[in-house]
Amino acid sequence: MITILCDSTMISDIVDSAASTIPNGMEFTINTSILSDISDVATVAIALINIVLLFLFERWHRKDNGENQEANRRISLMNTLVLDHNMKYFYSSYDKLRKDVEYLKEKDCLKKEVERNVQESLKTLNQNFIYFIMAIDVTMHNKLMEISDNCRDLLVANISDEGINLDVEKMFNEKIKKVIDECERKMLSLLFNYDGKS
Amino acid sequence: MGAYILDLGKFRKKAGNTVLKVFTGRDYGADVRDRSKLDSEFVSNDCVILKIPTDTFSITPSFLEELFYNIVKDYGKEALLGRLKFDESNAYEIEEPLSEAIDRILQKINGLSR
Repeated sequence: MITILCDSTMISDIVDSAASTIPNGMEFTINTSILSDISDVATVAIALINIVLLFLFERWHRKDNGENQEANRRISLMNTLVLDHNMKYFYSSYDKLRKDVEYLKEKDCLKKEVERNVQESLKTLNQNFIYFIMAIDVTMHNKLMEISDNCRDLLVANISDEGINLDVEKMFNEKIKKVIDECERKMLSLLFNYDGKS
Repeated sequence: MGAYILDLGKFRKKAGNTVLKVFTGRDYGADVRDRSKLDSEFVSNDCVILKIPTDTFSITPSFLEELFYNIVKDYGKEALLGRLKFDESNAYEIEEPLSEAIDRILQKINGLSR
């Protein structure tokens, strides 16, 4: 055992000397302190972001649920209030329309009379079926009305055209039957694909 | 203030050399309304006399709906029917499609105001 006896100056020199020999060690202590702070800040930030994301997800989920419930409600109302009671008018209007235009196959048919009946049949479709859909979904109503009007406009235009011989079956099928079939198909497609969302 | 004559014959469409005998479609109705300046003529005249070509085959509600939409929206059904007269030479019976067109305009306006 070596006992070193030092005076204060010597101790001070020894401490200074020791300090100067371990500069990296002191910096290491400072760096780990900064890293620890950064780590703490990052942890808090991540926690806050998680809370915000959770809040946003919950809000979106509720909104989505709400919209789906509303859509399902509309579909249900469309069925019970409108379609269950009024689909018969839909089909009867088209049956009548097809019957009206049959006279066009006759060579000397009174086209004016057919035109009047065609307008009447489509008016009936509008009043007895399409009109009530407005109570549930205005957009659906407007689309159906547009299809109905396009059908009516095209039919009267084709009937009035003296260059089209509607007593010829091929012409009749192309200019009259096909127009009516297409109109009915489009309406049924709209109704079938209704998802309750405007 | 006098009478404004809306002669639909001046606005007939043609398909090649053939003059069409039908007045159909919203776009057509809006076009006639704009070109004839019907909305302003309605206001500045005591009455509007609707003259329909004698060989007209059909006029559909879609055409009339657009033709009279602004008048019905701004002044109402009664105002339109009060001022709208029909030329004596008219052969085409327009009352039914006109009535249907006015009803549709009113439905649309009521639907928008909900």
